[in-house]
Amino acid sequence: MTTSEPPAGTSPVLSSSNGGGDDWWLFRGDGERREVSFPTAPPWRRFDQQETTTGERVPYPRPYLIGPDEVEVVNAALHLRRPLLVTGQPGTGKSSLAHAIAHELALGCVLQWPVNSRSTLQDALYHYDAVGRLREATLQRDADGTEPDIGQYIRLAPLGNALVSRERPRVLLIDELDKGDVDLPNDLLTVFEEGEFVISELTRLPASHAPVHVRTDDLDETVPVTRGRVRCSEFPVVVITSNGEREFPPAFLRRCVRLDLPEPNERRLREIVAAHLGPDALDDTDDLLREFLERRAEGELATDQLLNAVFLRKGGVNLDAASLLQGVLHRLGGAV
Amino acid sequence: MISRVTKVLAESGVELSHEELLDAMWLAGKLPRDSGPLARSTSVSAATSERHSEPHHDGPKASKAETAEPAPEPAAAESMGEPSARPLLASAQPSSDEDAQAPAGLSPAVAVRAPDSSTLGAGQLRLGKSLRPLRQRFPDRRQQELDVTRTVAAIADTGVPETVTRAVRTRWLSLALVVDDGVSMVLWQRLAADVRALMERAGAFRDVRVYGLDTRSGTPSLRTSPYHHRGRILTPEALCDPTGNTLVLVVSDGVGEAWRDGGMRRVTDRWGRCGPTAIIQALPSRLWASTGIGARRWQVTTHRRGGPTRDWHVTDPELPPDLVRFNSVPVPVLAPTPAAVADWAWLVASPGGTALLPLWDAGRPGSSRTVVDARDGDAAEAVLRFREAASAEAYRLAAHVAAVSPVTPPVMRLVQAALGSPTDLGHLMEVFLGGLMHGLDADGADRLPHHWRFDFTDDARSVLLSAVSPRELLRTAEAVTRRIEAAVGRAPVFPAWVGHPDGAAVIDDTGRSFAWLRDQVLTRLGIPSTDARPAVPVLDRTRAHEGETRDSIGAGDSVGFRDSAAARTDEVYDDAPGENQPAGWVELLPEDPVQLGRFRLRARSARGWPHLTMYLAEDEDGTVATVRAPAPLYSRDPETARALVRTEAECLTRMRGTGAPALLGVAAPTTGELPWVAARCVHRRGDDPSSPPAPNLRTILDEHEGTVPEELFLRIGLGLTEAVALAHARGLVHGSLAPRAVLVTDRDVRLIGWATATVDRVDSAHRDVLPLSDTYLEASDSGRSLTPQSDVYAVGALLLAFLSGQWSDPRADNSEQGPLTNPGIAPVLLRTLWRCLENDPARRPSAAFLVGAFAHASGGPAPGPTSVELVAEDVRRMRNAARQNMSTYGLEFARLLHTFSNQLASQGRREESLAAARESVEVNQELLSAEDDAYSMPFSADLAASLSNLSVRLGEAGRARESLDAVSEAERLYRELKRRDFGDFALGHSMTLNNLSNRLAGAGRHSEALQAIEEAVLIGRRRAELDTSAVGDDLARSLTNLGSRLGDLRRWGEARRAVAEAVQIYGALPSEEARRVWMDHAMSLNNLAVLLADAGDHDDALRLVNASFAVLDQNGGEGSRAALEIQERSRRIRSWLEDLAARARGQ
Repeated sequence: MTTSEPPAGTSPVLSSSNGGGDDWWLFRGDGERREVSFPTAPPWRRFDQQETTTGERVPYPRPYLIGPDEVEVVNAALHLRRPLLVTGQPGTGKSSLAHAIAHELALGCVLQWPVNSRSTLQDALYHYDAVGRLREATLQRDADGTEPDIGQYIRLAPLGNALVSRERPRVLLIDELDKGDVDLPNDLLTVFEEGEFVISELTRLPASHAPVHVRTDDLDETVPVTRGRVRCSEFPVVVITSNGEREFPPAFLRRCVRLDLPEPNERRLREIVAAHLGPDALDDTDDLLREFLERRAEGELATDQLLNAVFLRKGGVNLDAASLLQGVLHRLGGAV
Repeated sequence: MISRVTKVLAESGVELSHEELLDAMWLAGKLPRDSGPLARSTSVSAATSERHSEPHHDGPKASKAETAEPAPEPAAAESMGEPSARPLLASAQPSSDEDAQAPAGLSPAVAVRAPDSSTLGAGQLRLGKSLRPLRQRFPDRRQQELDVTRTVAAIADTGVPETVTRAVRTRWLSLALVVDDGVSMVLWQRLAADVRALMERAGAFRDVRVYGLDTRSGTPSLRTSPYHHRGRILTPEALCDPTGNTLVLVVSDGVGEAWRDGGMRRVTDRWGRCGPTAIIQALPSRLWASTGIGARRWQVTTHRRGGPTRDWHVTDPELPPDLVRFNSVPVPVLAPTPAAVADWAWLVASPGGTALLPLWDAGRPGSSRTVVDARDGDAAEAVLRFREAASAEAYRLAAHVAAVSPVTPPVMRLVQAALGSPTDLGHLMEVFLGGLMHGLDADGADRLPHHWRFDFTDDARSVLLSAVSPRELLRTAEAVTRRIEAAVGRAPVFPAWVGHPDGAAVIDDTGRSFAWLRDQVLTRLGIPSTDARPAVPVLDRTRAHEGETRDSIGAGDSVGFRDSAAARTDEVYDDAPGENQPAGWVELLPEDPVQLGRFRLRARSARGWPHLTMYLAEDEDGTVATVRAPAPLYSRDPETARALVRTEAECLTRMRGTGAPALLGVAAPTTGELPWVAARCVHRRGDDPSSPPAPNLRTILDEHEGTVPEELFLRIGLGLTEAVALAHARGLVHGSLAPRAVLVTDRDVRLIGWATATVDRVDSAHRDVLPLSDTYLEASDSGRSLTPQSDVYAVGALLLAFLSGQWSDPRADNSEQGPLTNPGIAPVLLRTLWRCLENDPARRPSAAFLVGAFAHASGGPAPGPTSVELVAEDVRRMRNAARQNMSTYGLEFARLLHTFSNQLASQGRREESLAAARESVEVNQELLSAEDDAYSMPFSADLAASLSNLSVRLGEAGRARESLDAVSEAERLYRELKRRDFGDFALGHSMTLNNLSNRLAGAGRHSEALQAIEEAVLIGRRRAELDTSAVGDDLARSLTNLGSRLGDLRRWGEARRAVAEAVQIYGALPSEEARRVWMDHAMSLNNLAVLLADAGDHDDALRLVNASFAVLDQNGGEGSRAALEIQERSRRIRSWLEDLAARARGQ
């Protein structure tokens, strides 16, 4: 994988006593300055973007494996144009599902709305930069008497963006809705049922006013909004993730298609490793898998922790399964 | 259309909203053929079943399955193949050497994340909402933000770009969650975790910090991480926030030493002086007093928002403030319920208010410790000591826990929850601290608390196990299994080990599994399914090493407990009615509750009532009950659900177990829990509780394949009308009578389904929730307030449909109200039933009248006194109606009076009976006088009947002359009527002639009497000629009377022949008819005996009297006064005959 050569003349302070190849030692803790070429990042930690033939920049597709039954439910949600409420243990791929759908159906980038206890519906619809507008309006009026278009100062947030009328729907990922306020699901429900919202700053404009072009997540793209009303033509693909422990109002649940992602079994784990790291990654990782399966329940481990461990093993860290897992597979759950 | 489909689905147990149904149908249209989950999951040709079930199963959403896993219903799964269930244990030993053969008694197992039960349960959502008052924002002067509005205003005003800032509004309080982490608190670790999650989600706090609290040593101390027993030790003062903006919330069970010895008191005093402080008591409130955290309700008044609890003004809720003082710093004690938390949160967050709050009662002397130190000494002795010290429930719970130990805290809670009431978490604590359990993990500090394992000693276990039957243990394991299956994917998890050939760990295979997981569940938990046959022989649940014989299960049963379905049903559960589900009942579904109040649910009704699920349940004494709970409705509309339950309970209370099941218990709490109402289960055989639940009308009809015997019909009719009449007398209108609401036992009829009944003329506001087919509700009735007449309509429709054998609207194929041709049923009764279907409610008979009609038709004993009272009420009602509108109500009223008079007479209430008869005659005369024709029908017939009746009553009252006048008048009417229509009135004329003859004979006018009775006999003979199927009892009666008249005239020979003919006719009557006229039969036998004795034929006479006694015995010689008289008369004749015989021998 990597070809970084250890610089000449370094003292082999910590040579191979721990089994690691020389390219393992990036930071050595000896105070010496070196030019280190960075090794390849794991596929799931790469941040550069791929350029497609159309010139569109999309993230590298991440492999995603899902069982036929789960695919069934996803299709049901797509057919019904209803939000998909995904639950499951940490690391079972709840959030990745949204990316997988977006990738497979070529629906562009996923619009992400990470929810926390401060999140409100308004945050997810749009932002209006009043001060910026006023400042520039003042400046421009002084200069040439024209007023900048109000649309520049309105930027649609993830949910708002998803509801823009488009030919093809976008994928909206509402991540960890369970972290949100008790009322948030009900607020969301209203928007989902109506399929529209109103930008109140634009409703004041006269009826004759031409559509205002407001900004979206794409810096180059603007969408026309007439009299402040944003209404979707195709309901976006909405993926909501939640920890299964959280209860939601029945009315909300009734309007979602629920998908509970099962824990991956051993065969699925092997497929996941192979998909992420190549089929040969499985060669000498049987002990890791076995150890992972045994400790998964007790240690409350997530699948990506196994990937980390396998990646390290492939990267040449020659620790035995127990110590490797000790290092990487630290327990996720806490006591309280 | 859609409404009807949803209704049908709801009735079959699938509650769907319109959207859901539409979604399912949309999906069904989109799904490619043969690729639906159902089609894939069944190997059998799914073409037909798929079409049927698509709406249910193909839409994963519509099926309400939270998963894509097509989980077949348990019953279906069992019939389809050989589902394997794998044992689930709480702990395992990691196998030290993988290559070595597993030691005997051990099997491989893999770890799974089993779903835990939630501690906050269904209250989670509302608990979150109850914290809303704390979600306040206050300006923080240390942080500034741009004030957009004012900035814009300022720039617009001045034209100078300048900004205006304001203090950031930040969350108000910080939360310090202090979790008591003593050893007893491992049981409450999940509660603490749930509380933490709740507080974090509430969005009310700046931050949530969690501390461990050590209350086991003299001086309480804090640690940075609860349950870990390492990390930095802090003093409790670390939580004293001088700004007063830190809320200290303690989660504890009050078991630790410091709660009793004042250590914690000092600590909370300190916290309470700085800021708001509260304690969440983990235990149920009934146990608070026995812990270190007892509480009493005080009236608390606050004067500012937040602030230290010390500033609270505390007074006694009742006594004057100067009498009782609260001397310490108040600390509220909260149960983790929405109501308790809401009160407290509101008080803390309001700028000033008053509330009743339980405050930690420090003045209470520490009660005795619950910990029994039994570590030393013999295990049996320890168990004995535990048994003495602990409650019976705790002892039973201990046995159940011991059966599956070693256990982890989540398993203990699951077992307790599966056992259900009367055990609660308090009993679990008794078991846990009872000195019988010991921790298995010396290095426990490294594990999470819900992984800690506890066990009993082997000796203690075997002593404990003798306290419960293996069957009970199995049932508990099944209940736990159901809970786990229901919670998969929706609950926090804990590690457990499931038997699996691929496993690296090993489990003890002595049958200590606390649950059994099927492959479908295992797949969801990430365990690949293997071949169907369980590889582990643990399914043989014998425990030979414990010296127990489990003969009922079979020691050689190595196939698997689940697989041997036959053994399970036939042997294990043969005496458990809930498992051998009776007809109409099916096993509980995963979403069903296991326990409601003190009732353990056993089965659910297969025929769903919409919104009200009916369960078969059992209380702690084994009383079988039916529990009705509006479970799905409750989640949507708790208020309606409670109203339904309350109405049902009110009705059952009023019915007092007659005509309806007896009320056993009800719960309609204003907050929190699912309301339910429990009634005694109505069994098929009267009071024999071992018989299956009583069938409803529909089932009865099915059992008889559409034709109900007359006798059964009359009995059901009588029972049903009596029940309805009773309900009306007690101010109730059932309003939803339908075949399923009528339960039939071998003795009586009980009505169920009172949830939308009309109580005291107030209609239920929720009738639309439980819609009724319009077959049983007159369309025009449904619009307005329901009256007893609506019920009468339903009764008529029900009984006519029942009689016709088809549950359709009886009017549908009989547009004319022609009586149904039913040979067995008296036409009069049928006509009465048809009158129930009159469009005008006023023209329908009353329920009490129906009772009389049925009582008359079945010839049974006269109605009891209550029924007479019911009719009396009816009479008063009808009298008012008739006064206002004689032409409409008069006839009905007169007939009712007639019935009433007969009933009063049978009670021996002669004067009242006479008055009623007289009134009936008067009403009929008035009605007839309004007609042109003096013989206008039906008034003249009714007048004749009532005159005849009046004459009988007058005769009974000894007013012979008046009686004779009345009967003469009646006879005159009948004679003309008979002339006009022999078929209809011959019988009436004949009976009147009998009566007239008796009166004339009484007046000494023997020849006239003879003439009258001879005419009656002639009529009888003519009737017999005209209609060979006629029964002939009236001819027999006339012949008997003819015999008497001839006897009066000393024409003995003719008299003997006449009575002998009568006896012959009676003897030849079909048995049902004979039962109806048995008194006349006995009388004729007696008469003939006397006549024969006079003629010197003593032997035959004695034989006849004995025959008369036989008739008396057959028909239950007790009962009415007339029967008594006949009995007395027979006795006299017999003694007279015996006397004669003796004298004859003496000569």
